Amino acid sequence: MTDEAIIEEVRRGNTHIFSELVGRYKDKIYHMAYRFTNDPGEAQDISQEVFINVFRNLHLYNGTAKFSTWIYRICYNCCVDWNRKKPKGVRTGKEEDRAQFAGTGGDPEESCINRQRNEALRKAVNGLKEKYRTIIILFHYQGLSYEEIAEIMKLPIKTVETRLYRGRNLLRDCMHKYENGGERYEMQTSYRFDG
Amino acid sequence: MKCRRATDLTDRYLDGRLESKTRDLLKAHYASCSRCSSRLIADNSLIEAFGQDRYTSEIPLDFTQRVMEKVFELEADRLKDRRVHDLQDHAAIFKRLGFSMLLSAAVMLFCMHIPSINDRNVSRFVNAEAGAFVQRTMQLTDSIYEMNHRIKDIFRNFNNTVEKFKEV
Repeated sequence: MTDEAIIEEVRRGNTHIFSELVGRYKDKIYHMAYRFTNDPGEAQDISQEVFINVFRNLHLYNGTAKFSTWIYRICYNCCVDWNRKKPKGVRTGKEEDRAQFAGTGGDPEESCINRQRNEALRKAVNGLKEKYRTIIILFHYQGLSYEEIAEIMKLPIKTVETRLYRGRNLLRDCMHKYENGGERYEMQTSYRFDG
Repeated sequence: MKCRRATDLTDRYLDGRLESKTRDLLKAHYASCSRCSSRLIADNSLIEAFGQDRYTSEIPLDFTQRVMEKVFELEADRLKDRRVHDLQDHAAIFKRLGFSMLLSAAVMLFCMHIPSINDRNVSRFVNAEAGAFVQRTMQLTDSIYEMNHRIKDIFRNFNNTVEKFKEV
């Protein structure tokens, strides 16, 4: 059953089938929220809020855009609202909740190096200004296209391109410093890397 | 193709957003320029790093159930609001209907009694005027009668005076 067909059924009053939609998108929405918040609890709350908003506003969905784009837009708005409301401070997530790299190989040393590298990358992404960070997350972690990102963020495609490339350049500089044993790159919100 | 141009196009190349002609030119440049090809490898390593960054924070197993509980609550509230709204609508309709019926009844009664109301008014008016006329007439009659008596008295007195004069 397509997303649009499920929506039509829910509009007719068959609310139970909404769980099908939740099942399809919960992982993507949760992971996107997690990338923004770095906190599983906050990511859960945001994800729930996204689906409640989707249900509440189903009558507004007219099918001109893909449903996935529409739900991502709702998630993006929720993440932006969360970012505005949260108290200012270090945004690296709790120590015990920090995501661990799932090692790909059997070599522990390689896994450890990869884990540290990924952590450095995550910190670098967290340290970017919101306009670059959002696009990096949507493109590289959520796998969305330029066009989808442009529709979600209501930006021209050229702007999406420019911000993506700019964000990558900033990250490359950070990772270059990290890999060359330069000063440890500690990302804090007070030190917003904009280049 | 010059190195500066190749550098500008690297990101688009990595994202597969170049036209085939430009892509071929860029590939040819990478093949001939070690500096640019090294930069390409370095730039690509960041893209690969994103792909390797797999988190293990998973969504709770009962997430869908929790969402659906809230969805059903929302639906129940919506139905309750709709019922209240419907009742309010029905009450408003009955009010309007009742008012219309009363107004219609009043208009009908009014229309039914228009002639009798008119006659009564006319007869009342006529009676009042007639009564006044009669009263005035009676008053006038009294006045004439009294005057008649007075004139008679005056003549009587005159005659008496003439008789007395004759006797003298």
